[in-house]
Amino acid sequence: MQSTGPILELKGVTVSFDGFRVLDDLDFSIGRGELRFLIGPNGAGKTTLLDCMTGRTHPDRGQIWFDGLANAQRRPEHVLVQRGIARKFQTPAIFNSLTVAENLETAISFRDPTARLLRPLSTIQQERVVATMSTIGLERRAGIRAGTLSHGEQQWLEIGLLLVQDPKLLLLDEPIAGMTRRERDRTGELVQAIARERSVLVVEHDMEFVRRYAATVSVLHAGKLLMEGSIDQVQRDPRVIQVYLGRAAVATKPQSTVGGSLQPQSTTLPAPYTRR
Amino acid sequence: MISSSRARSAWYWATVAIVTGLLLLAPLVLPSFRLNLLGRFLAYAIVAIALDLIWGYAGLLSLGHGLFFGLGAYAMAMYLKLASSNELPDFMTWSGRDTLPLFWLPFRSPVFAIGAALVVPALLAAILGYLVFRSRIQGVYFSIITQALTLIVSILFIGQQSLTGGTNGITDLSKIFGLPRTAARVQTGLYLATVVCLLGVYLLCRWIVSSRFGRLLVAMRDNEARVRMLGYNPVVLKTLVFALSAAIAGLAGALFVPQVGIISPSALGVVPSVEIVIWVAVGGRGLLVGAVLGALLVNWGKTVFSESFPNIWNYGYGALLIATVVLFPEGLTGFLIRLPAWWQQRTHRADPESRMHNVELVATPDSSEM
Repeated sequence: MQSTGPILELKGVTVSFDGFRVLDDLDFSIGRGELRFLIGPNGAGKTTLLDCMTGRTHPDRGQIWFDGLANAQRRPEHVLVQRGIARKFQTPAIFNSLTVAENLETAISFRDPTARLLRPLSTIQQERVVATMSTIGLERRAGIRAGTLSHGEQQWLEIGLLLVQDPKLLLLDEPIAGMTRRERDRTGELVQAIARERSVLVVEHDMEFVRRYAATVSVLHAGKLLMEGSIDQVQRDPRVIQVYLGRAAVATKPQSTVGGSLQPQSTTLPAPYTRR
Repeated sequence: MISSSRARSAWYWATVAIVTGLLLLAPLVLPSFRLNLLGRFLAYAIVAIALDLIWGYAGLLSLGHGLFFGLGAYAMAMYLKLASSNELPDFMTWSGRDTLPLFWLPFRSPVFAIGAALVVPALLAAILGYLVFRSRIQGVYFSIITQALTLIVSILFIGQQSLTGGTNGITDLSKIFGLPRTAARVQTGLYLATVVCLLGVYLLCRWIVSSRFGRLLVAMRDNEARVRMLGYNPVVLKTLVFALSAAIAGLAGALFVPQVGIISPSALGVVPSVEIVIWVAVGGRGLLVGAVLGALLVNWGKTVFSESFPNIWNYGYGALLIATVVLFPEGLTGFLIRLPAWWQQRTHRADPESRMHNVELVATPDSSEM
């Protein structure tokens, strides 16, 4: 358990599907307490990268260290979660037939021995569940079935499932997808608050959102890390513009500068040419 | 809120106590033939609970519970056969054996036999479950594999005439614990034991499904990838609950055999496995009481109708399953639970003001989206 050095480090990670290299000899690392954004055009390998970090996909080559644990790339998902990694999926992955409170209770019990699950939550766990419900703004929804929540509330509930486990590293795959403007703002604040206490990696398409909340941005392209830097550096970088323009140049022009963040279509492009 | 939930819980426990009391008093009222029939149905209710535990909660539709029931029944029948014969079991002599096979020896002990009735199904389920769940085989493929295993084992039992009694099974089970099996006193005792076991199994499963473990079962049914990504190993959890369910089914089989006095491969085959599914579907899965009611009602209906219309009963059985799936997908209990809400909705719908109110409710999220 070292407390210095990156929380997560990947070296030479390669993943191929049917001969196509989704991740190509990738080096990547996230520092402790860092809030990092990951962007990249569709097919850049962002989700596959998260799959590797969480043990969902085992890379063909390469090494992953997580919080002092070597060979993390060979561990199954539940072991990595036990070690302190948590992941939000793209579409809300919650338990629809359970209530909001039961969802959180299921998440917080993850380190209890199986026999302990036949008995009720401890007081500390119960307090944490209540506290988390107010953090994600669902305290009045405690007894409601998760399947009947609105899309935005489901996204928050999933973030709550992860928060209640107090992970060291939180991976968020497009947390604001399909949200209204107000929901996006709340989510942004939530992400910022979460990031004060742990490392967070956010995969996001929405450049307006990235611009508002990002400290460091990594750009993934064709399975390789194209560049890393502040949002301004990234948006000015000719390679980044090339990558995005090469794919969606036509869609750029008609984008309005006002309220660009409202339109889901504005997602895949950085906006330097429209904003400046 | 608190007082109303406390009142509801008081009502619940009162109902459980009354039903148990009535079942325990039934021997005073019912003629022995009817009592024996009820005892069998209660044994069926135990298997139904076992299936509901994994199907209704964990979403694992096992088409192999007839097998686990049958294995429990065979284990008990082996003890009963040895207790009833002075020498070698008759079917072994007929097939030309002159010594008892080694694996039959410990079944002289009733304790061993009852233990085996629980452990053998549990072990088989654990091995099969572990292999299947580890390969992430789900849904209908799991059902097919359990059905295939059932078929294989029943064919095996038919083929091994000298060890299992073959197609005829194990018959002439005349003694249990040194007493004549068919004596009214013994049958009443077996009936009461079945009632007690049913209550015990029901309370155990209720405890499980209302605990955090039970919610985890539902969570796996809803979204297994999420369960895994919350740090649980679904392979272990599913194997555990599948094995427990198989053990309960084995217990039911062990209670069933001494009340019937015969076990044959037809009782552990594919057809009884599907019948168990029908009971649970008709009663309403996802509710333990539903499984019990389903087993009792369907079997009671089967008895009544097969006495009057022996030729067409099987078609009625099929029609019942189809009708349940199409008309009442949540079964009888699911339908009864929904009835008040449905009625309320119906009476509300007649009222135009409440309809407008509903439209507004639907429109609100859309307008904030704009």
